[in-house]
Amino acid sequence: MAFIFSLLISFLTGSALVDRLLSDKDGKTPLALRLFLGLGLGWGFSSALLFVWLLTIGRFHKSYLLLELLLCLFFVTLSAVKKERRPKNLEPKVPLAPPSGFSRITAVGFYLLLTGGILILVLLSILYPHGNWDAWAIWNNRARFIFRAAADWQEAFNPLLGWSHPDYPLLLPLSIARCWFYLGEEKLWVPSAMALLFTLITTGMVVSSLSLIISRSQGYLAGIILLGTPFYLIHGASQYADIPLAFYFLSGIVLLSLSNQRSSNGCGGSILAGLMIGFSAWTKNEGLMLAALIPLSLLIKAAFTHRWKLPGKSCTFFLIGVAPALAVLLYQKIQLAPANDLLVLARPAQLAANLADAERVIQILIRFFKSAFYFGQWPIPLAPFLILYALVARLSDQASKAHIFPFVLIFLQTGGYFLVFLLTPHNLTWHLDTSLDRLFLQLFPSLLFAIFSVLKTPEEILLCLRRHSNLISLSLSWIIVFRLDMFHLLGKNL
Amino acid sequence: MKIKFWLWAAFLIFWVCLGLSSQYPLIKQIIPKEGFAAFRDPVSVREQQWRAVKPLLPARGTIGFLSDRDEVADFYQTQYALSPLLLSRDPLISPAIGIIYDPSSLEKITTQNRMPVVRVFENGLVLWERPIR
Repeated sequence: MAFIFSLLISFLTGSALVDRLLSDKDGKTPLALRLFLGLGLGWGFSSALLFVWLLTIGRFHKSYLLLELLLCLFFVTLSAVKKERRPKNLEPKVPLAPPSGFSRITAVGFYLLLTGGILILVLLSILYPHGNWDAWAIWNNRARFIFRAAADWQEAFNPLLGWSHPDYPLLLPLSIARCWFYLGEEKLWVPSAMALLFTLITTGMVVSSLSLIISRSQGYLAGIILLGTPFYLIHGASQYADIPLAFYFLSGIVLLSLSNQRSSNGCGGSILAGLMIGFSAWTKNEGLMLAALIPLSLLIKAAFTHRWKLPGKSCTFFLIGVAPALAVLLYQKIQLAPANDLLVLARPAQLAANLADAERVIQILIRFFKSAFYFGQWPIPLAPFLILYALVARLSDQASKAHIFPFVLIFLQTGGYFLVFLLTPHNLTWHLDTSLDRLFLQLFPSLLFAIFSVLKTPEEILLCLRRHSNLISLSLSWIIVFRLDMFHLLGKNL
Repeated sequence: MKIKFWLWAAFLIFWVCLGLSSQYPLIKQIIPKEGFAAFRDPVSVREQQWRAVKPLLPARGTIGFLSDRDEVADFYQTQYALSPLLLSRDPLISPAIGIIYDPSSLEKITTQNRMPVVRVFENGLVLWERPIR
């Protein structure tokens, strides 16, 4: 009960903020979007609040729960007051299409896979309640320090724990510890429940955002691919921070794309996107890189669309949104945690040698290509399947140059990862083996959103199908997919 | 139009089946051979083992960790089980706990570190402590 209450407080605070920022001039925020964004934002907000509380008061006290409740009431009231003043009958620019025959078929498929996905997540959580290696060695271990050590919670950053990366951000450990504070005791199922909820809201975010921007069937199609990806489900239950990070990446990208399409000035959307990306940095260090790359991506988009006024405005509001999470993160990094291992181990001469090492570049490129090709542990390689589908489906008529933004951002972030591997002081093979697939997983939901937001929907494809040519290309794609499956199986057996 | 619709419906069904076909082997892979009731993950096992030692340890501070094997997993899992106690591999720190795989190495480690054994627990867990002078 206390766990549900903690969720409810987070959700109400988050959704009130979402409602306040998104519905400024555009009317009502869709319920699904408010639910998923609200929960994620609420967790980010409450983890940052708990961190500030622990820093100022020194230890957890029950009055913290009262503070959360009061803040929740404040935001909910603020949102309700604003609603009363809002003019009625304001609909979003792109209204949600009524469900078609296709969306019903895809919905059935999606819910089938969702059931299977939840079963897998629950089974894994029961069998491995502490999660996989990084979960217990890093994230849950830190949560235990914060909860168990009371006034000595800063022992979590002791140099003796250097192997567990004390410089890693605290959103996940603090969110787990916060639930334990609500419960009054340490329950093993809390980290599993958090992991499960993050996986579900990430899936929900992909489906609902595409449903809102494009069509329901398009949202369900992307959801089917996401839930059919074993690697996504395995990591959903692993209790690692990669899925929460993927959620905040996706939310930030969706909000920036939405503020493009729906809002007249997009200031609320940009602030909210900033908050989400800020919380991604508060989840894992990779979020810091994304936060730095967003202004650059907005500039590149402006160069493509020749609308130079918007990025300045978007960037300003985005930076306002990023600021709170960055402030707590910087405090943790500067005042509490030891330096990151990559920075400590780096030597200028070694970095220069790594940069000039062509063999290293080729090794990373090959590994990037292989990982992208076989990503997700699908029965057939997913990447060529998606490319084939994109070739058959083709670009939607609504796709414009503005849609380049998420692709640019994902490309730049991947380039950033490439640079990190090029410079890493660790053994390159070990570093690639232990992290590359997870780095791709962090971007996977955002990439699915980006791809499906520019492709034709099944309904559009059906309307555009010319009698012969497209039927032939569709049949051909079927054959190629089956052949790929055979090659894949053959490769596996060999 | 009808043929096109069914072709697309078949394509979607194929898509869903592909997703389900990737979930099914995963479920098969997850289910432990020994059955749900008998299966226990290594982290839970280790945590359960340390429960007997915990009451004899201080509530806070740093204690030593010794072992006859350089198993990273043992050290990390022990730290996780005993948080917020801090573990150090410094042999000078007393009290110290450890995991001994080969019983014959216990005496060697005890003499080497000049720290008498307080108690040997099940599963090779040991508690050492230097007498206070």
